[in-house]
Amino acid sequence: MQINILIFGQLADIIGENKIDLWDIPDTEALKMYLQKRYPGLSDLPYLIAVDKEVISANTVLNNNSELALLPPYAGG
Amino acid sequence: MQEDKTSAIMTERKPKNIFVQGPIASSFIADSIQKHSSKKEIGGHSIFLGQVRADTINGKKVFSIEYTSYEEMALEKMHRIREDIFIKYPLTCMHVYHSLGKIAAGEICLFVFTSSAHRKAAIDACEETVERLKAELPIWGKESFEDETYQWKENK
Repeated sequence: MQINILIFGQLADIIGENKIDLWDIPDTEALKMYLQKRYPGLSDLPYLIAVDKEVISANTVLNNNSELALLPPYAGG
Repeated sequence: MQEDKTSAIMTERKPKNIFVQGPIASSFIADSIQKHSSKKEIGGHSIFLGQVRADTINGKKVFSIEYTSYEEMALEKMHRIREDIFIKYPLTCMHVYHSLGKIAAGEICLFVFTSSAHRKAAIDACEETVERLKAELPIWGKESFEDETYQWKENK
């Protein structure tokens, strides 16, 4: 199962990409653990995860077509 | 029955694009005000304008802010905020515009415009919309300094 992740703001600086594709990530907890290991710089920054444009507050199972996004603190207005 | 009602509301107010490339011109704001002269049931407008501030951070002055967004999500969220505000306040209309791209200090990056028969609803709706969009819309701002270094802005 492939998942596509959009990356915004400061997180794109840390990860070095605006978008990454990952395989075999069953849920958002697994995603967080993967990201933490792969990009240690993320531990300094709080961020939210959106699944299909909704910010999640608990572990969420991912589907093949899930649209994921990593959202650092907002700064609009 | 319930579903029919909801879909009727949804059709009435489709998600509108709020994003404009570059700063919001004062002539655009003036034109928006002018357009309301035909809506004679309006008795009060409330307008909030966000301006890029030249903050001094560690002795360096902010020169511009470059705004980016997760646009599809932001428009869905804004649509929901709009729906909530229209349910809560007796508004005639509401317009919201937010800049994307590089906006220099002193330029306008946010324009929120609410109108109602009486002032209270317009003022309260305007304030609540500004507070909610700052907290809920996925928009980011990269603050550039005069020496070309930058940092990411964060809403307090």
